[in-house]
Order: sequence, then structure tokens, then C-alpha cells
Amino acid sequence: MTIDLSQTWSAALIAILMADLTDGLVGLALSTLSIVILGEIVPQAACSRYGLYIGANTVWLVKIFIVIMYFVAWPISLILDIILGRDIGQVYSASELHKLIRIHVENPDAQEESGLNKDDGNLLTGALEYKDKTVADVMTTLEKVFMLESQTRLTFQVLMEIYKSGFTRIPIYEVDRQNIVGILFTKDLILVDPDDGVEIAAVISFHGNREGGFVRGVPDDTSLDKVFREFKSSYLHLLIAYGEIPYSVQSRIAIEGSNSKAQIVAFRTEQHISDYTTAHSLTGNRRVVTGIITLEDVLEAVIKDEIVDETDNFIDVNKTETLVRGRGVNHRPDPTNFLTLFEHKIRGQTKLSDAETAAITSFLSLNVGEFKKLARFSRVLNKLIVASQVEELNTFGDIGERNKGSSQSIRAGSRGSDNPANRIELSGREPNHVSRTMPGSGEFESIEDFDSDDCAGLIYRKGHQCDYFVLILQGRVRVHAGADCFESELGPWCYIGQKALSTNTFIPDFRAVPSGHCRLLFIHRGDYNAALRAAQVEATSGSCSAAVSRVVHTAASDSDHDSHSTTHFQ
Amino acid sequence: MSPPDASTSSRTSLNIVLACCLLVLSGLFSGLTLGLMSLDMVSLEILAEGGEEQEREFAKKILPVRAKGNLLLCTLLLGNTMVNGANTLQPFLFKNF
Repeated sequence: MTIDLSQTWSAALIAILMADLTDGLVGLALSTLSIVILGEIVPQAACSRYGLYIGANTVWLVKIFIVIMYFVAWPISLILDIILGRDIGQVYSASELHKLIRIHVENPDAQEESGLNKDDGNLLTGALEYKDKTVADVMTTLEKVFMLESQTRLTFQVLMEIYKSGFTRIPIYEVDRQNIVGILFTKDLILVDPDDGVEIAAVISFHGNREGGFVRGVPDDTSLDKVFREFKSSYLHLLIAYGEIPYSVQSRIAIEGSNSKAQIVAFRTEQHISDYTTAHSLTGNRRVVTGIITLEDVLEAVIKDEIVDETDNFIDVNKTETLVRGRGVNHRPDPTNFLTLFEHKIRGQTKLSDAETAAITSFLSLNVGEFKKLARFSRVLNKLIVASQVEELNTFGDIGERNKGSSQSIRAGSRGSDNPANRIELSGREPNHVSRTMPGSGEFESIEDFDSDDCAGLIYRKGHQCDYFVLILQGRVRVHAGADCFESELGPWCYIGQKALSTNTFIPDFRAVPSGHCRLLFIHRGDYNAALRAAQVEATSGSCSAAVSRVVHTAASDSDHDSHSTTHFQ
Repeated sequence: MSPPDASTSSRTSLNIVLACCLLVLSGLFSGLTLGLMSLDMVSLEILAEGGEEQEREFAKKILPVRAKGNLLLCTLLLGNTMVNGANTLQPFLFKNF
């Protein structure tokens, strides 16, 4: 090869050298050919393939020539620099990079060479694209947000609702959903005792005021990269997104929903929203909360996938279908199984545990005259107690001074909305919205005023006939007796209305109201009499089966009217 | 064509060697014009940081030269033209030897 080449070279060079001596055309042809092939084609072909290798190994020579040519080359290069601008190399725009990444991950050969797969590609392109999206694109809109009212008491039912929601941060509003006053961290609830019924407002009051607190707003047209920076700098994981609505539109809305409540709400909203950012909008527009955005939403936009944690609800609130089909259902236990630990509470504390029944049986048969007769027939007494109604009653207030006197009671809710007491509670609270927004303006009536027109919370009402005996299981009951309403408080294992069982017309000369939350056992005269008859039957026949079934039967029919038993108190 | 005498023969062989050198240089310049100019700064930096061991080494060598892109281009093209010209003219340039 070398010989061959040198032969060609020699021939060519000889031709060049002889050009002046021999035929000029032949020499020209030969020299041109040799220069083109050896001086251009071969080196260029080699350098386009091994440019890096050849370039690196001949860089010393290039440097020498740079020095030699400096005086000529430098001025020219300077002119070129000025005219063309300095070459900074190939720099890609975001969309070009996007395409570049797709080239690297889409083709199987390219995948092998680059070592990137489709997921990597998604992640990389997501990171490039996420800043093109705005808060409004990924936020959870306000109507889908799980929120709680700040005056809500953290009872077991509320805590259960929060648990089932699966959220770690819950926006808390006051009066209107637009008016977000705080964020409830479910972590904080670990230390909250459901029996205390603490108001959410009290829990979030330790989070500081709005400026230093955990409620911060962000315009919903902000790009996600800015929000991401906001998340990092503020150490918050949840921001309130707001949009701006021109005043004209707002006022139209106010006119359309022209009742006083809407106006109060609108007023409150305006007051509050301005707190999210220090200055009012310059354009004179009004800020309206449109949703919430979390760090997770932003990260999901980056990775273009859903992040689901161990206890997330399997429903993505922004989509309607279930989120993790295969994974969630098949490969991991349903976290709601955990709830079976609290089944006794979930079913409502209106059921007695076996131990409680036994304790009550022995207590009644030892201490209450009416039940001493049944002492020998413990099975009958047991059935009577099991069949009797356990009620949970609650007064608002008594914990904080603020709500003192609001003695409407609710029966904590296994019965839900068909509970008349619940309905009373709801309708009774409606006017309170107004009074809460204007603190100090005659907030609530006193007990005395209250009794005259609404007696929803009363266990016994003075002068009103009733047919049941009450045993206090938990909590306290306030009893007002005599003409001057002498007040005394009864605790667990005290009982009231003993005479209601033995006499046919029992008219209490006292008034009894639950003091805070309490759990009571109601035994009705009908059930008691049935039990007495069953005991008689048992005493004569020696078998109680028939009698017991009668007791159960009576209880079943009783439970029907017991479901409305709160009406007894009215 | 008469057979060359001793002095013309030695002169011719010297010319041949010179011509070969110039031709190699010419090839090198034109090759590097394509090779080095097609390596842009970004890809060189990528190779210098993220390439394989040998690639990094090469890229680091080339980088300072390639950084002054227009100067390099001028040098290579001037060199190429000059060498080609010298090659063509060298029988006359070196006639005195």
C-alpha cells in the first residue's frame, strides 16, 4: 500500500516537476488529481470520522501554524468576530432539547446507546415543559377541595372524616369557602383527644397570623417554576391559588345572589383575600380564590405522572376514575382495614360493650330499687339493658366561654341527617353565621332565654310527663331542681327518673340538661314492664326463652320510635 | 525526455520529498478545517466532561484551540492555500538548490 502510494506520489510529483518540460496539460491533470485525492478527499473523509483523534494529535502543529500565521490570521479573525459574532457553539432551545431528548429515547438503537428509557425521557421533557404550565392547569379547584369550617369541633366523627379523606393538610375556612383562614395539619391531630371536641380554630390559632402563618396565596396564572421556587423559599407545601376578577363582574354576581348573606360573604372575602399579598391589585380587580396547589401537584407536572402515597385516597380528586387500579387494589392492603380497630366507635357509641352491659347489670341490680326485683334474673336484666337505647348528647359550649349558653344538643351522628336533633342543630346555626362575623354583638342567648322557646337539649323537662329512666354512662348532666332552680351536676353512674319506671304518670319537678358531651342509657317503662313480666314468667316456668323473645320483640318495636326519641326532650 | 543527470536527479528527489511534505500538510489542513470546525464548543465541552476517558483527554487538548474559532479557521485555510500554492510553485521556488 505504502509502496503503491509512494509510486503514485512519485508519478504525480514527477509530472508536476516536469510540467514545464513536458506537456503542460498532462502535468496539470496529474497534479490536480493528486492534490484533490490526497490533499482533500482522503483527509476530509478521515477527519469527518476521526476528527477528535486526529485533531488532538496534531494540535501541536496547528498551534505552531497559529503562531506563524498570527499576523495575517488574527486581523481577519478579528474582523470575522466583529461581523459574525463569536461562535459559542450549538446551544439548544427548550423545544429543541425536547426533540433531542425524544430522539434519544424513542429509537431502540438510540435507547441502547444513550442508556435512557421512556420514563427518563418523560422526566426530562417534563422538567423542560413544566414551566410552560400555570397554576390553574394543575391546581385542585376550590369546589373539589376537602375543607372544614373553622368552628367545627374535632369530634371522633370529624376526625374519622379527615382520616378517610387521606389528606395531610386541610384548608380551614371561616363562614365561606373563599375565606381560607388556616391550614390544619393532620399530624397535629395525633395529640387531639376527640372527647375534648376542640375547635379547629383553636388548633390552627397556634400557627400564627395570616402574614406569618401557613396561608399564602399565589396568582393562578403563575408559571409552575415560579411556584416551585415559592414552595422552596416559603417552606410551605400548600398554597392558595387566586384569580383576579374585575369589579364589574363581582358586583354582578353580588346582585344576582342578592341576599344579605352573600353580601356579608363577599365583604369578608374581599377583606381576607387582600391579606394574601400585601398590596391590592393595581388594576382594581378583586382576588377570588380559585383553588389550591401543592408541591405534589408541581412535582406531578414535572414527572408527568401521579404520586400516590401509602394512605392517599385512591381517587384523584381532579379525575373521576380510580387512580391506581392494579397496584392499589391487588398489591397492597386496603388502608381502611385499619379502621376496624375503631369499629366500636365507628358504629357509634350507641352500642354497649359486653363489659359495660355486665357492669350496668350489676350496678342497677344492686343500687336501684326498681331493678333489685330483677336481680335474680340477670339474663332478663341483661336483655333489657342491651335492648335499651344509649344516647350521646352534646352541648355546644361549656368548654369555651365564647359559646356559653348555646345549649342546643346534637346526637352524635350514627343516624346522620334523618336525625331531627341534627336538623335542629343545623337550622339553629344559620343565624350564627352572621353573629360570628360580627363578634361582640350579642352573640348568644343565655340558658334562661333559650329554655323558653327551644328545649332541644333537655333530657327531662320540668312539668312534662315522661316514661324513661336515665343512667349516666359518661359525661355530666346538670340538674336544676326546685322553684329556685337549684343546680347540681351528676356524673357517671348517677341516675335520674327512677320513678318513671314504677309510676304510670311521672312528671319530673326538675330539669336536666347535658353538660358538655355525655352518654346516657335510657330505659323506657314499656321495656321495663316487659322485663318484669319476663322475670315473672321465668320465675314460674323456670324457662325464660319465651319471655326473653318477647322482650327482644318489644325492644325491636321500641327502637323504631326511639329513633325519634329526641323529640321526647322537646 | 532525456535521462536526468546526477544533479538534476538529486534536486528532483529533494523536490519530491518536499512535495510530499507539502501534500501531507495540505491534506492535514483541509482535513482539520472540516474536522475541527465541525466539532463545536458545546459538543467539545460535553466530551471533555462526559465522554469516555480517551475522548475527554482529546477534547481537553482541542478546546483551547477551538475556542478561538475564527482564528483557527483563518489559520487552517491560509495554511492550506499557502501549502497548496507552495506545492505548485515549488519547482520554481526551489530552483536554486
